[in-house]
Amino acid sequence: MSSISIEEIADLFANNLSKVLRTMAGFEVSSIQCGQQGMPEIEPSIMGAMILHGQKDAMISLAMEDNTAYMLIAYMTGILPEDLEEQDLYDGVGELVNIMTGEVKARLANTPYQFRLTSPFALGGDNLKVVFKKNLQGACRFLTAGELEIIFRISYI
Amino acid sequence: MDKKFYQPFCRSTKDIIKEMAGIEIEGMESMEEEEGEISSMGVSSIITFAGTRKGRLLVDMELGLALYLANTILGEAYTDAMDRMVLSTVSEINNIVSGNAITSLNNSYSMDLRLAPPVVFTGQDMVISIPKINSLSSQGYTEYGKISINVAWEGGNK
Amino acid sequence: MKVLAIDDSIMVRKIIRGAVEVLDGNLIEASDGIEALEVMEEEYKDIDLILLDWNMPRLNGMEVLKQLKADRRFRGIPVMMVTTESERKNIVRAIQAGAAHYLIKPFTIEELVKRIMESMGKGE
Repeated sequence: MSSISIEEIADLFANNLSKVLRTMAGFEVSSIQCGQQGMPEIEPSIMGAMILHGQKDAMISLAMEDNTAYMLIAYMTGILPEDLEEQDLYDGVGELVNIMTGEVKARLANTPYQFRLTSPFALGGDNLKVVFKKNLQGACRFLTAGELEIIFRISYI
Repeated sequence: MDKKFYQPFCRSTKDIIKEMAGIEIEGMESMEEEEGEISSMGVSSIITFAGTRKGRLLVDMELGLALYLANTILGEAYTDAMDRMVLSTVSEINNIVSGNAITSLNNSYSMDLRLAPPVVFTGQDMVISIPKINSLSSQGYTEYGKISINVAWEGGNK
Repeated sequence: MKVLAIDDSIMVRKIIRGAVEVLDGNLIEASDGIEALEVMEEEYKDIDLILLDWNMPRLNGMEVLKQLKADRRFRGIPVMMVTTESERKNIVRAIQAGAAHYLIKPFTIEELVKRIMESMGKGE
């Protein structure tokens, strides 16, 4: 298999996330590289993440504001946002990471980029910050569907 | 999973912090089951390991302790716990603690564990939720602040 | 109709509940394999279908499946794997271990309802 850049791997994840959101919540999602003109500033207050073990270890994350998480989980479960509890959000964004990752794992199986999953986890709070070692390779996608805004990141760690 | 797979992380945390920064951690003798979300005390670092089993260690500490550790280990005088070097020190401590613990597990039980690099998180009133995994936690105290560790092993043979 | 959903995600269990309710069925939930086997001891006589996730704490889905199929009280109840594991080798492993159906996440609610109906009609 020819080499795959981290940008291409980011696209695999972002495309699969779009598919998950279309299938399970009915959203049509568009994706751009982060930092492009027109990308609004968002302050994520919830983040779902997973560490992937492979030839190169990586961390993937989905970050969003609470309102987006409420809306996504509500559409996926058919439960009104006001009836969802905080625990449902953490569980939901963690599971979203898990579902997004499943198909990418299968696509990259038996290639030099194959990886093993670990348990997804979720973080909530203001000013969330993730610190890696300096100069790590990473890629980022900004996904939107109407008012829903999600930041996907992958970083080799 | 048997407690013998958790205890090396308590021992390692106490030993490494004493060795690197010269401070004693009081408590951290036993581990209790953790259910639901973990409220961070300031800085958290997560590291995962995989071999015949998969697991992870979460180290969480108060900002005061993070600052003390960075200043002592690096010989600097940082005042902002959010300084990248302070957070990197927390990350490195997690790496060394985990490396020490998994070496002991690999030697004792041939688990063939390998570490992925640690990641550090901070946030205001941060909550950490690890829904797919059961874990045990242990809390310790130092004169510079509290520290807790949370260890989880995934169940079954994947 | 009584369905046992074994999945550690609250969200997925809620989605399954919605689908089972569409079919006027009752849902029992278990959040991991150990809990599921405890539920089975009590309720197996009433359970018509088991929906089983793969990656779960304490006891994973494949281990649960093997234990279910090794127990003569449980082995006749159809099991549908509902999981993100989409590698062919894993699907084959699950079918060989006795899963009657295999549904890969993500799925639409309509697809889930349809697959539950198929599983119920076909049985084992």
